[in-house]
Amino acid sequence: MTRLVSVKDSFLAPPLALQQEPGRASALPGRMAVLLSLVVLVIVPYLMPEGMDYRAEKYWLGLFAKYMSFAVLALSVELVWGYTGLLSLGQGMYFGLGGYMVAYSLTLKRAAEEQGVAVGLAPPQFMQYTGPAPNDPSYVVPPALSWIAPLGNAWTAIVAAALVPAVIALLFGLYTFRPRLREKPILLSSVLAFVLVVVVPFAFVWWTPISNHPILGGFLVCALTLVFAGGLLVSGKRISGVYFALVTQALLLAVFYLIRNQQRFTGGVVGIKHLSDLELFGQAFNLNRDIRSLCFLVSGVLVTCYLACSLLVNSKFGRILTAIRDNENRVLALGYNTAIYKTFVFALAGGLAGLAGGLFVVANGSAGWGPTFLEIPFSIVAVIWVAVGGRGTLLGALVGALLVNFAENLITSAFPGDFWPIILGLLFIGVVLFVHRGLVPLAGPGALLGLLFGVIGVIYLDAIFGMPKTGRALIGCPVILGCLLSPALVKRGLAAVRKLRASSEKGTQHGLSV
Amino acid sequence: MTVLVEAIFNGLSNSSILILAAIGLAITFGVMRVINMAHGEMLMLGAYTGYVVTNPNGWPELINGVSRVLGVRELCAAIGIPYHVPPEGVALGIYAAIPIAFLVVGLVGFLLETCLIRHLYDRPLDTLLATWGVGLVLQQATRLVFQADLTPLHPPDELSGTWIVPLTSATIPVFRLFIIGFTILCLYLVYLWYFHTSFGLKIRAVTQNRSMAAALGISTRWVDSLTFAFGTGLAGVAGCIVGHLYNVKPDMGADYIVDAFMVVILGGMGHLPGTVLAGLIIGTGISIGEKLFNNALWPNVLTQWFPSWFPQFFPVWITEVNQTMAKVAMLLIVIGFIMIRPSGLIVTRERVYD
Amino acid sequence: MGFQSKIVPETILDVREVTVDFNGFKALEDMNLRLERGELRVLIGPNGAGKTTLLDVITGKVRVRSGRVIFQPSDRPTEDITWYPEEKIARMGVGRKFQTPNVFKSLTVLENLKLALKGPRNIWASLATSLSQDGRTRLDEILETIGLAEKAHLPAGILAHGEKQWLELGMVMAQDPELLLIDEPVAGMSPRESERTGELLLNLARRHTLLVIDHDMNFVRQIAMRVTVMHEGKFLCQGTMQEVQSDPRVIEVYLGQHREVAHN
Repeated sequence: MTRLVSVKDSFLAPPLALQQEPGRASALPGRMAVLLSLVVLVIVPYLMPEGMDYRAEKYWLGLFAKYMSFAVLALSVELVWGYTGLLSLGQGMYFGLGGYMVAYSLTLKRAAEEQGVAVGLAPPQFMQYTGPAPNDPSYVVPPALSWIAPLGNAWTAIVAAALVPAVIALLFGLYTFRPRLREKPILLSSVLAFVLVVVVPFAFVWWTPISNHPILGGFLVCALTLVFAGGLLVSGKRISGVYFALVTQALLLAVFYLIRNQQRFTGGVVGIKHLSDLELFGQAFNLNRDIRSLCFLVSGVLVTCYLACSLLVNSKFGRILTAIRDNENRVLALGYNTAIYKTFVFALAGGLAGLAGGLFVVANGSAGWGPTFLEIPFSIVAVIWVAVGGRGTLLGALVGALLVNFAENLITSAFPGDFWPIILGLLFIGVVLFVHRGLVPLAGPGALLGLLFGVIGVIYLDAIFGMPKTGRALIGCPVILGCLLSPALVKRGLAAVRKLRASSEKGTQHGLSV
Repeated sequence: MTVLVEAIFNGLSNSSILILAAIGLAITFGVMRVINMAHGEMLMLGAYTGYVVTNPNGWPELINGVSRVLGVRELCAAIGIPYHVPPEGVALGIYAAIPIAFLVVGLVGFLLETCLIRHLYDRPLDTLLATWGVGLVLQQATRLVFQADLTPLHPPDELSGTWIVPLTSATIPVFRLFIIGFTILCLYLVYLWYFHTSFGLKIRAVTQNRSMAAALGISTRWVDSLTFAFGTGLAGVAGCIVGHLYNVKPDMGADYIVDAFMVVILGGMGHLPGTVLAGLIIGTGISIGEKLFNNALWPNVLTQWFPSWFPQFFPVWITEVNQTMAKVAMLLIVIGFIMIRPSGLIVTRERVYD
Repeated sequence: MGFQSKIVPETILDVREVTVDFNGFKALEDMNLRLERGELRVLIGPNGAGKTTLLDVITGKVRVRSGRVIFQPSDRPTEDITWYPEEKIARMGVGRKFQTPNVFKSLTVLENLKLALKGPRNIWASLATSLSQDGRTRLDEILETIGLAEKAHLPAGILAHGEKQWLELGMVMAQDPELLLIDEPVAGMSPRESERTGELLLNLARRHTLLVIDHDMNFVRQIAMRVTVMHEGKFLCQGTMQEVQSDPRVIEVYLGQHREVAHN
């Protein structure tokens, strides 16, 4: 009887079922592989070929640093989309806001260094300030500067990079998912509405230095609080699925227009280009001088985020997120306030994305920061990384971000004819149509390890043979992909061998018995 | 008076463009529930079709571009076949360009539906991502073929003058009037097609109850493909019109796609009159907003209308507020509205089973 | 305690004059229903009578145009739950089993049950707590009862239809609600499975108040103590199965339907 059942199951079960079976023996190697790949990720600077010249090392490690900060963004998309099923096409907004926080900090530092005054006193270059110099007695700190001055401290900036997007995502989530307030007494909601609509904007205006100058959000603070309070008070249908995707995208577009438009506060189209180095623990993270410590910084944050996320998704909380993805109505009927769960995870993902943006500014170094990452395509590309890597696995986020970006780098540097968007588009169509679950479920937990070895292998090939870029791309892409898939191939091969051996044994037994 | 009349006409023509861009989407997204992120690129293809058709250089440029990208010339040289530069074509007018754009883009839509979207009907979010991939490919392919951005196409002489509104001194470009009239015509045709033809009836049947319609002998596949082709064809028409107003460039679709989606959602899914209404509201809203958000207006309003204790913060805010801010404000308002009422302006309450 | 509740039957749920309107179509019209604690009530009625809508109203999924729903938990004061959010009603002790199997298909059977298990529903609890010993034994018990102990670690998505139905029942058991609303528990089950489901329900009825919707008359006869009949969104009549079956109005309603069917 039991045998029959198990046979039936093995027919019915998709590969996922076998992976999820919590046999300790089968889970352990996978976990070891993931841990090992995280270790490799951290020690990547030591795995570069011996005697590589600094420019090449800087190039490759710089790419690693940048792409690892993208991987943090991919983790946030993974949490929101892969686990909870909310497709956010506006994750770049939080990435961008985090980026601006750190960029402000670095540009303030740079201005202070150049003008020889304390950080937060010198107007940075993007403000296009024309007035008395900071050490002039008649100098008055421009109001716009006094706003961002606290960010001059590196730690404040990093905290702000995570916190500001998280709070904005929290508000957006509260508004979108609306944990219903109708049950509360009417009085309370009207007081809340009054506070939000009237008191907050007025207090904001009277209190703060904004009243003296055109702060970019000034007008928006009013509009947003109004709409926000109105939305919180209205119960009823909440948006989901496709609507959520389109609304996040529209919001991203609005924020993008806003930032691009407010030249004096954000640097407009050009962005913030004059940056100094980030300094933490007395250590400066500079792309040109000390690429290794920069790499350690980014990979350390990435690994920490990964571990934290994996703790989160493996707890009951993670199960609830998956349950919401599968069938939200049922979760509601079980008594969980899904709106709060969704809001929480959205805020968390916003914070992660912001942190990723901050890291990216540091990793991007002197190339500076601009509003390009707030454009619509970038957010969708972040979704592509996750789709390619695998939805519903955190590892997929890392694999997707690194794989797609390294492929992009190899291909664009080899073929300047701008074929990359076409390849990206086709890749996306292919993944959605044929590898719907992504590469990690296909390759198993060794995927990241394989990918990293593939990339490092390409770097070695490049260092040893000094290939032309075209050759590097033509050889590199298949090598990386092959290495990525190799764990699965090895596993399949072993399984096939085992099966063959088993069947041959059975055959001999049969032979004996006959 | 003059300002008002101009603002009204400006708003109406903006709305018309928005409605033209959105009405195709209202059919593919609103009625069929297919999220076609390549809709903007369909618009762009329509504009380029208009360019190729109305410009004597268009056709050779297209052929040369394609053969450059594919390396046909090198191939010819290698094989030994002489490569002829195609001769200049005949420049047809806008009246021919519009139906051609409709057919060409409709065909692209047909192919898109049969090759890709058909396989993804039960996965709406994946459709969104895949069609975005298609859009990316189309956009980049166009960029490779027609390297530089183009200036707006020239409307024919009879449409390029201005018209002075009687009793006022307001002048309005004739082409804007043409757009308004043309949009009304298009809407009427769509209305006839959707509500008064047997094909429209079939579409409504299929979208409301697919399995029942199939059981009645309607070929749902065929209906899906043709409806989608029709919707994208309308996007092509819109693109052909837009190409006469603004620069024709590969990423021109991106300027319309978000707005068009907002219009369709705001109007209520599958509700064509709602789409028109939403288009009017957003289009005129943006025009009025552009008039409101300027530096000259607000200080007067504030000093005259508000008591002196009222915090004088508006003028200082407005100093950095320009026309883009009108768009930002409109987007935010629409987003807020959609989040409060996802079913749009016109709501029907339905029973939901699970 | 038990005596008391027998002598003075205590109302657990009171649906008063509820009207639900879908674009002018009255799915429920002045519907009244009163359930007593510990009772197993079956709700029958022809298609479109508004049975599922009534459950939607009780669980807060569909909002009423007028009328009230009053719920009396055993350990807390009576509350008007008409406008409470769905999850709050569920937390107060109203469980529901949906018509179609509604399990989380990418979670395993055990995880499905764990999510349903009675306990705090807030975020911090979900982040911090692990399963208590009590909870574990309870889950084992339920897995045995619904006969899915061997498949505890399989994703629920690959279970057979009947097994999914049982898993749902198991989830409802784990949730341990005071009032349990069950929508067509035996739809699509074989006679043997449905008999077993009936036993499960009778077993549940010892600890919970049950409101069951079903069409299957044999099944209703097996489990029902009292039956309420609905027709076109209204209360029609109420009584034991025998009483209801002999009621001329019920016969009219069902026969009228049969006549229509015969015409078609």
